[in-house]
Amino acid sequence: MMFSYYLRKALRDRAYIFWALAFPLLLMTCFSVTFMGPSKGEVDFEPVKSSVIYVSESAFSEEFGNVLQNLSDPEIVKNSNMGYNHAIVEMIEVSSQENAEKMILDYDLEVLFLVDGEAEKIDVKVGDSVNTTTLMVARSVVESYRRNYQIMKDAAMTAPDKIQLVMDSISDQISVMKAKSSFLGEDGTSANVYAWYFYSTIVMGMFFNVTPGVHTVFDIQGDLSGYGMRTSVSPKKKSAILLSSFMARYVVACSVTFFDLLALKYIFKVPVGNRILEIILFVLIGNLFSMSLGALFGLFTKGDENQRDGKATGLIMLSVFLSGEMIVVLPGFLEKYCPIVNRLNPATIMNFAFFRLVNYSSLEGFWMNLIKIAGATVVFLTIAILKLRREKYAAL
Amino acid sequence: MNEIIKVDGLVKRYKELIAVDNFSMTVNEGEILGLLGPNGSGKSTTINCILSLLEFDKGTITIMGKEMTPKSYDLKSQIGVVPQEVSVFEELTVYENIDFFCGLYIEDKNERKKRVQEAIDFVGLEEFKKFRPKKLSGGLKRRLNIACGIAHKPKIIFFDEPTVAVDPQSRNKILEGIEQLRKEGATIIYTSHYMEEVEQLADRIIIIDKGQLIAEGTVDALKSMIKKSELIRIIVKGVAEEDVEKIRKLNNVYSVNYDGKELKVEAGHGNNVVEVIKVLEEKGYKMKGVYSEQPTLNDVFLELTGKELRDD
Repeated sequence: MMFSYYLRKALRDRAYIFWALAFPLLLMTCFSVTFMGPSKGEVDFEPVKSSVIYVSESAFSEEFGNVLQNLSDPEIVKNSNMGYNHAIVEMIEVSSQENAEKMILDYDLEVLFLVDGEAEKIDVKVGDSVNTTTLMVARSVVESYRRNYQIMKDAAMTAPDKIQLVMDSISDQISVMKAKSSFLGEDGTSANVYAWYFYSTIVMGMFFNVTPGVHTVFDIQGDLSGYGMRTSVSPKKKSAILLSSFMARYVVACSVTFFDLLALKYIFKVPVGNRILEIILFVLIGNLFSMSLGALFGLFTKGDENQRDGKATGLIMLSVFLSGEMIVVLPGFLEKYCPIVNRLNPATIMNFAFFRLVNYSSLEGFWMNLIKIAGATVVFLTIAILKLRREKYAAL
Repeated sequence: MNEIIKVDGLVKRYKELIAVDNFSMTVNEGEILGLLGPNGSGKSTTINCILSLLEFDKGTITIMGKEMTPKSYDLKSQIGVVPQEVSVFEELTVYENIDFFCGLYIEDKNERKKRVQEAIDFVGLEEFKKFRPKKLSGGLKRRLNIACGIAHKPKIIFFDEPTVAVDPQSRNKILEGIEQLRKEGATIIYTSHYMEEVEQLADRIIIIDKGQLIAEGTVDALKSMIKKSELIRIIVKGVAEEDVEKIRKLNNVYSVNYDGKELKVEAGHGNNVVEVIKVLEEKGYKMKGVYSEQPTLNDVFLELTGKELRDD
């Protein structure tokens, strides 16, 4: 009975539904119109400071070296159909892999290509601080090269007379930062730097669940609201009421996020990857985090329900802004000048987690970020439950 | 009568402020007890201590002979509360709100359905039962607030200033409803700073100020505690000072004021109006109106504490 009423209450909370569901969809529509339409999506950038180390040599590695040389020549890039009037990469000589990795840590180098010619494999190494633009450029180069090298090999087999033509066109076909075709996502669809805006919007929608967190506290705390007083005076156990109230809102919160993700994938055509279990975990933990943060605001800040909700929402808006919701390069800037913000900002941590979940082959970064958020959630929930268990108050 | 609630030596402090100061009272089964005092006198604090919502520093509270604690679920199931502020969920309809709060006490769906409908009929919200609270007027919201507190048919009901900011029509409806609840067997503790309401409803009244019990008893018993029993107002012009002095010297009269148009006489128990009129008639004064007012609870409060009860 209580669960069903709390569920109805959450679903009829127009302000919450607007901010958690409608607002992210509106924002995603705006991003879609702005960034993803025909002839949109180009962004200028500084040449990426890159080095290459050849683990073993072959035609594959030799040709990749040639491509990098072409991309580092502004004249060649200008005369190509890539649409840029500057070099794509700035090649920096390095003596060894160790030396290159040290330079990455010192911010003297952004990308290291490790080319295994015999295995026809290219690994890309970047620092933790890499910004999304740099990452996209590096991935564009590698993925496009792989595709075109395959075409070149096929041409060598089927039409050897056309091979030079194919080779000449490889650089031209590396379409860095072009919307819809900049690089292949892991699920085979295309993604680009603007995906960051969409992922950030998903995180923002999840973080608006601080509001139900605040409401949950007010629903059952006799010292905070009249209806909390009613529930405290009733013979129902407080833990049962708390569980019903929290779970009803949590179910709505997670459903809203899944709906946003479905819209992202099927309406806005932004890749979300195909790691379903990890995505579910991401949504469950993200929403639990924001609701527990909201509960803390409900319990420990001053003011009425709306004032406490306002304070919680203000904080998460700041967090979301710093994560690059409005300015995609902001996390990169902060990483350079004040990295502690990125380490502590939950929205940035969640954005990185989702970005890595969708775009990285290794899930190490995703798990690290998710564990940080899960740890904070456990702490927040423990504090909130200990405080909420009190059934007699010092003041009303 | 059985004592259904007993409070003994209750003390509640907020840092330096003593909100309830060694307060004791009893509530008898089936009565309406009026807890009267100005804002901030400690009425709500006392109620919240009885309900085990507030920690208190000293004293004991028993309900139906058992100590009241936050985990006294058997006692809690016998209690209904109508808080001072309208405490309902804006997202739920009138019916859903009553059903929700009734559901905190009654699990059985059919039984609950019956009681919710009875509560709706009781407060007269049948035609509004599908409305959300924000579409209701202030008076109707107050009625909903009451319905949420009484739907489970509690034996003891606490009303904490239920008629604040309510129109006269709704106020009468609420007061009639409370009277009806008593007739049906409920014990009611009614706090208010509206003395007329308490005077109209309560079988017994406790006057509280600065957390202390000032007086307790029936309305008549409280009024008999004070010296003044009557205020006589006479509209009359040109009364000479010597005649005013003559009235002042009458038995029982202890205060006379005259502003040239209206003569105000405060008197104790006795046949005062006749005596005063007799003096004026003897001198041939033409009286345009004679009014006699009985003392109110405010007069009782004024005489006992030296200040007005109503501060708004």
